[in-house]
Amino acid sequence: MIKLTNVTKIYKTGVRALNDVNLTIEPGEFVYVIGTTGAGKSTFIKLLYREEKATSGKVEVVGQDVSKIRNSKVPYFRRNIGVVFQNFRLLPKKTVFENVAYALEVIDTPRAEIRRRVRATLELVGLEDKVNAFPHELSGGQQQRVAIARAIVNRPKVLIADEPTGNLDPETSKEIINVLLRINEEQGTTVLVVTHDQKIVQEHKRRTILMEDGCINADTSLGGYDL
Amino acid sequence: MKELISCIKNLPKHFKTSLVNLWRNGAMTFSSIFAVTITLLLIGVISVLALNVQDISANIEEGVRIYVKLERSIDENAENEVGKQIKQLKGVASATYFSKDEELSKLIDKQGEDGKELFESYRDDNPLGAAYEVEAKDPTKLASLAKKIKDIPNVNSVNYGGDSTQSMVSTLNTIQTSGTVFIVGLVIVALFMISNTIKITITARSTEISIMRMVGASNWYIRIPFMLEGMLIGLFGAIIPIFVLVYGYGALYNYTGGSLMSSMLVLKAPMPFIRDFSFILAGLGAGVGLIGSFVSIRRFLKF
Repeated sequence: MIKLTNVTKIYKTGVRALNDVNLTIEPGEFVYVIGTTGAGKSTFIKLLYREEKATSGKVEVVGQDVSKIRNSKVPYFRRNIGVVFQNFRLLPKKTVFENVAYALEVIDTPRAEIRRRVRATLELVGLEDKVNAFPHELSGGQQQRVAIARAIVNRPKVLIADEPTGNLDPETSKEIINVLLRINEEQGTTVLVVTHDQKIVQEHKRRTILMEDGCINADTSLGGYDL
Repeated sequence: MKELISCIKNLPKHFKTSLVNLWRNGAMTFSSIFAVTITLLLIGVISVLALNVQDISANIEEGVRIYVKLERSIDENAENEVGKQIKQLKGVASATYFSKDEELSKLIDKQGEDGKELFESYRDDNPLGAAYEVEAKDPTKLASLAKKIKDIPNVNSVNYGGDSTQSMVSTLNTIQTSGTVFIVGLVIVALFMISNTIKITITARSTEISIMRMVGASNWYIRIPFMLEGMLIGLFGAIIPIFVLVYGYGALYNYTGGSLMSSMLVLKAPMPFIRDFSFILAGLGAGVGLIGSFVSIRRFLKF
């Protein structure tokens, strides 16, 4: 599903963010990516959704060589991937329903189908009673659940979550991780969670990748933070 | 191409989205529309004035004639011969013939009741010669044309008001050119201001655009609602200026009776003029809004 071969990323500023990284993630896996700030976690996932291009090496996501995708085709490529951010990134002037529906509207889904799928997805994340609220009327945890709903409503093969619990309290964080685990189990979506949250990684042990100085320092299916 | 077609198919939906966005971005929308209103009002009022000044100066210019008096002694054939020669000169737009009798009648009419009897006695032995009223194609070349006419045989005198007419004509010409430059300059400034306003509204929403891209919206899918919003802002911004012009100019026209001071200073009739001008204002607002958003959003759609 995701395959990195000898990937190096050097920014224009000269910063060497990734250094000869090799990695394979199989379909249906649930993977944590952990590491200190500046270890290259963000660069790693930015390469996956083509926000950045690798300086050298090959990045393959859902069978496509990411660096070969033409700029104009990037939106089409991104429909295969759902992304959730620490700061939610919801469209501020759209309601919960419209935010989630937007991901379907852009791929010309028929209206009836949009209604059906948005409702089903909001139920999955537990927000069916907030359909007509605007983002600023919701709590952080609720906003993050809307963001997750938007990311998965078009059934992407990969879901990438960049510090999804970074702005949330422990109780809410637990809920969010549970939602992500459910998506992984029920829909078979490959889920990648970048996190700092030791508690979460300990509690739900899954494959964990530790990054340090642009390299993968440990990769264990045992899970846990003490690598 | 495919995505463009799908976006055109989605145009009604995009249109609805734009209206909803305008409504939900209330304060931003209002201030942009207000800025466009002020700009269009400015160009509207000033252009209407400038166009009228141009029209009036063109009118005055057209009114300038060379008055050619012929010798008294010559017969009708010789008079016609002079007319022919005048018409052959380069730069002559028209030459109207007045016979000796007509000239005397004009003179008598000018004298009023008192002089009428006195001058009527000249009917049998007319002291005046025939005349031509010559209209120049280019009023700025009045003097040289008058000189050429003077050289034609049997021409007694030529009168065009002398240097003062000449300098008036060149002043009017300056007014017309500078008026045109002024309007063009103003339109450019307006275009700049409107597109800048649109740019600000788009920049304020750059995160929104990046989110849309994140979710997989194609560039055209993002762009079209913004372009429609820009167009609507321009269009809404034109409403008040159009109202002001239609009612304001109509009132001015009625109040002055269509002319200022003398019949030479004629205002443009409101009907086709203001209507056409309103369309131009609305088109200007909408067009600049549309193109301005297209240009401004490009920056945020680069991968």
